[in-house]
Amino acid sequence: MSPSERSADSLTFWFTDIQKVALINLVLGVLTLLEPTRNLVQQLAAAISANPAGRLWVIPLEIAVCVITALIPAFYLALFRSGVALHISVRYRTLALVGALSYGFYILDSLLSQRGLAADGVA
Amino acid sequence: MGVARLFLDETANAATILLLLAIFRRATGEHDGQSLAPRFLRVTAQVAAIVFAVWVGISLLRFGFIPYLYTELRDIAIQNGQSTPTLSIFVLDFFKPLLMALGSFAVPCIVFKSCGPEPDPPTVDEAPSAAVGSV
Repeated sequence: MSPSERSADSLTFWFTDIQKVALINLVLGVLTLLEPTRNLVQQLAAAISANPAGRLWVIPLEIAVCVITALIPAFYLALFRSGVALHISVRYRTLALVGALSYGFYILDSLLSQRGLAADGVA
Repeated sequence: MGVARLFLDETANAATILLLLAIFRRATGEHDGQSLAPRFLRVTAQVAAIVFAVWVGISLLRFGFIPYLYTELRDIAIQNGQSTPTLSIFVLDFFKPLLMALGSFAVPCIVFKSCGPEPDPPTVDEAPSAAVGSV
């Protein structure tokens, strides 16, 4: 096997290894969630200061937001640490494929709509 | 939304696709019934699967309100002399969150199902007998 084939194989392996892809997802998930979470917490704080009587329902809501936000990075961290222990059945291949296609259509639509917005801005 | 922010979002979504494809490639055999997955992975996968299942359910429920909401929007637009969006664009706006919810639900659901049954904790009767057996 030539060195170029070997490096291509190792690259393919890297991108199909669940643990390593989970690490990528962990890093990107944390980076992506930082700004929306900060904005949401600031909005909730503003809502409390505007209406102190609403503190009773805003604080549980803020806790729920923090827990749900931390859930996804925690899940990817757990997958990164122990993804090797998984025995994935063939039955779930269809679900994985449907999920990947759903995300693919979502990204495609987002990019197309952003391109349309940019074109409108230029026009 | 800045370009950097958009790039980061789409990269994160692409990474999720990569994870789903990695799962697709890894799914080769039947589950042997033994549980090797730690409790942390099992719990986070279960909670994430429940949260995303609720999200999928809410996204599906929203479809039931499309006729009512579209009629309302059309009436308001006609009153204000504005053009209404076509029904297909309106439905697409409801369809996008469902796609994202489905994609997000798939990963924790598959991982949780692949964790296998939780091992039973040793009962009080078994523990002393095992200790005696080892002596």
